[in-house]
Amino acid sequence: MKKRILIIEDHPETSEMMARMLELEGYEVLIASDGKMGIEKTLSEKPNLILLDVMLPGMSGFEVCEKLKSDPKTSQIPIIIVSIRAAEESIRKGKSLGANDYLPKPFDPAKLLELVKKYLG
Amino acid sequence: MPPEIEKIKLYLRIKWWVIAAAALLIGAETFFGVVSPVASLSSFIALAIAASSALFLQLRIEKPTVPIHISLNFDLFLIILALYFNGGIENSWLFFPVFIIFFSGYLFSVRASLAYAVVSYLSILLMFFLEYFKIIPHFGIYNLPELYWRNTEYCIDYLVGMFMLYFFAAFSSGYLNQIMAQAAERLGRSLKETQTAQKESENARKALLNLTEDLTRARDTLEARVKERTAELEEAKSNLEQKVAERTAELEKSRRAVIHMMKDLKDDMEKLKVIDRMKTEFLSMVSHELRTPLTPIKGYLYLLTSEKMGSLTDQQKKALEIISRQSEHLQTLIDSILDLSRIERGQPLPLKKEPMSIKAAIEEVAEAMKIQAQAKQLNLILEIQENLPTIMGDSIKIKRALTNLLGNAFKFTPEGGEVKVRAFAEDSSLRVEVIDNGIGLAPENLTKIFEKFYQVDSSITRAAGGMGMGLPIAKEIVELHGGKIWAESEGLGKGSKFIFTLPITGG
Repeated sequence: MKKRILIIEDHPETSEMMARMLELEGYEVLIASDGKMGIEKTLSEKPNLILLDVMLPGMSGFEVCEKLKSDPKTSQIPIIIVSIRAAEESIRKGKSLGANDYLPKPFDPAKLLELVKKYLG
Repeated sequence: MPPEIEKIKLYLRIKWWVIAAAALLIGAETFFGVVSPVASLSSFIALAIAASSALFLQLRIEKPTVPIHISLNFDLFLIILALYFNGGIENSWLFFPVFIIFFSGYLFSVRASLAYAVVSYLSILLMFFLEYFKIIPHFGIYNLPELYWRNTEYCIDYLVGMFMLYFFAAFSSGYLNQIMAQAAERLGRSLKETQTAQKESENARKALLNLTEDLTRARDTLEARVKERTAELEEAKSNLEQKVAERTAELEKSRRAVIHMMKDLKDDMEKLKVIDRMKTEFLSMVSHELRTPLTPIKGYLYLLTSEKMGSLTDQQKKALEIISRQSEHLQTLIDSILDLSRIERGQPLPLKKEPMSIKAAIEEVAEAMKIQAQAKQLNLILEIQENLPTIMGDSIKIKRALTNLLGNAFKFTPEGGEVKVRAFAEDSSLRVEVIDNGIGLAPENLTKIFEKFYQVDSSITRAAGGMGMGLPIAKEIVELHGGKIWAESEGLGKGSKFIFTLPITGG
């Protein structure tokens, strides 16, 4: 069965690019453009992996991460934070909220694929 | 020594009185027929002699010594004579010469009185001798029998008595005189002393008076001066008060000016804070906005170049390569701006220190910049020591610093030049040198070039692309790793050498 990846990202060009990339690798990709939708889609579609941006309209990515990780229904889904903010504190914050990994933007596409493979096999 | 005039005058006075009394007596006796005319005449003659001698003395009172002796001797002679002719041995007034003896001692001294005593005594002794041996007649006055007055015992008694009397008188008057003289001398001396003392006290009094005068004068002068000074002080005081008032006014003005300035400063500070806040917000926004497009750019570049969206012609591949490089360049620029703004605000750059190989870093950067070097036909040489120790560092940042240094070297070396990168261990650090034979640096610029936005010649920098940020960023990176960076050049046109060291942490 195809692995499902949920991209929570508000910049359409970025999310589309990521989706194209991942689809070409054989993954199923879903997109949510804000945190609220992201959480809904997680609950309804049950992705195998979430790629989460931090700078989102409304709820911030950190909040989303916290929410998902504290909800037992969703807590086991691995979350990779993909964000422009690459400062130490942001990474630490993300990890402390339960994120499994952190990839700063702009990222090396090969690196992204590597990480995805790591969590999805 | 001649006797004092007072003594002489006394003697003379007594003598005159005696002469007067005797004259009266004889006169009375003669008048009453008591004595014979011969006796009274001889008495008067005697008195005359006495008076003349007295007169003589009176006249010669200035030089009295000889006249006194003449007077005394005449008196003595007349007394003896009178005694002889008025009873001689019988006369009980044989003591009369005592007066002469006394006077001599009183007027002169013991010696004189003794002399007169001797003369008087010899005189009566002679008289006694002559009368006793009837050599001269005896002129009796009491009609006493010869047996009565021609008695040996009587004579001897009398003579012994007179001897004792005369010499006693001589001594007593002489010594009395001496005593009185001494007393007088002492008196005189004490008088003199008193006088001296008086004179001294007078002098002292005068001196005291002078002193008092001087003091009074001094006091007056002092008073006058004190008045002067007081007046001066008053003036100075009022001057001072005025000045103090002026200064206080000035100070007040300054104070108010300072307060005003402080308020302005505060306002400025507030404005600066606001600007700073705006800058921070702007920067984080810029950071976000600039990086956002880069993500899909990179992503699609990857997709295209990996031919996952279709195969490409060689030309297309080349074109994509160029786009790739340019977007990398853009990313580097954006990262540089953000790093620089962080440095400027004193914020630390995020460093991820891991064990890394400087050799690998240099080689990677050289590889990435190979095309740039080739474009200018520059010869890039690497001289990396074998078995360099690994260091703890952020390899991305170190590579950025190397990129900046190499970029500068390429920029400022003309076509056909040479750029060498050397790396070797020295003491306890790793030393990396980027050497070019380009346009070099003037000595005053060697440190300035590490300042933000400093460009030696902005035309060259702009032509080659850049904002003068490479070196400050490289400096920050090296120093955050605990190293040092500096530039050396032998001068304009003689190439440059950029050196940085990184500490080798134990192990």
